[in-house]
Amino acid sequence: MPQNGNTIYALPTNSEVGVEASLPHEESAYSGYSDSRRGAVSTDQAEGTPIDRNVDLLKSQQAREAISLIDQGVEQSYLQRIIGQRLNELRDRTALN
Amino acid sequence: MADFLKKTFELLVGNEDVMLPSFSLPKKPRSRSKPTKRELIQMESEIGGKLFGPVPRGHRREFFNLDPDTWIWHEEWTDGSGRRRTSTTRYEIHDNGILKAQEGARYNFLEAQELDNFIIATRLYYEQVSREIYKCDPQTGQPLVA
Repeated sequence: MPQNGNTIYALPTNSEVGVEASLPHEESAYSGYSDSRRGAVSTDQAEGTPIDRNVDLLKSQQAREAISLIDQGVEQSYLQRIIGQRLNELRDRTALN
Repeated sequence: MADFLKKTFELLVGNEDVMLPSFSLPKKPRSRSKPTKRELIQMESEIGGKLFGPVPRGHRREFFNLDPDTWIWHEEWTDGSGRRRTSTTRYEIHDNGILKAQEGARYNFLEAQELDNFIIATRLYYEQVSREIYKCDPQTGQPLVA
């Protein structure tokens, strides 16, 4: 996972959580391709696996940590806004208009 | 002009001892009992600058809340060659985290130790500013009893 702050909250990709890419079952989609070509396609398709297969990803440790980071960020943002709003209310009450 | 008005008044009223009416508006002194918002932020920043320990000699440090969604860290110092240096960091509160924006550096969301430090600093800031400047309890918002 990239280490910069903008992407830390993104869910990890398949390769990062150790999930092996699996071939889609629709054989007809690959009719006419050689076995080696199929393999190449399956790797490319790994990023676009159906959402039901990605449920397992959500159970992974890294995914839980990523979600925890999201929750932490949202919670802290909420609390920070409350502090900022209170400070501004105090200023409004005290300042010369 | 004043002589002319006085003579005109004497002609009309016939009294040499008449007092001329004052034509200048009385000067109204500006009330300084209340500080402006800018002055309050300046006072807050002095408290904020001390939250992170002693400020090194020759440095000037300010840390303050600008508006509900923005915090500013500003530092000035003189480098080894005698040039005055400044650094300003803006922390923006977004729905999904706290974004750090620094001149010449890429934006990034605070995380780990830096996020913890920021949270602690802003809470201490709120606690101290509430008590020392606004004289109110940071938890309840009620005025402190003297």
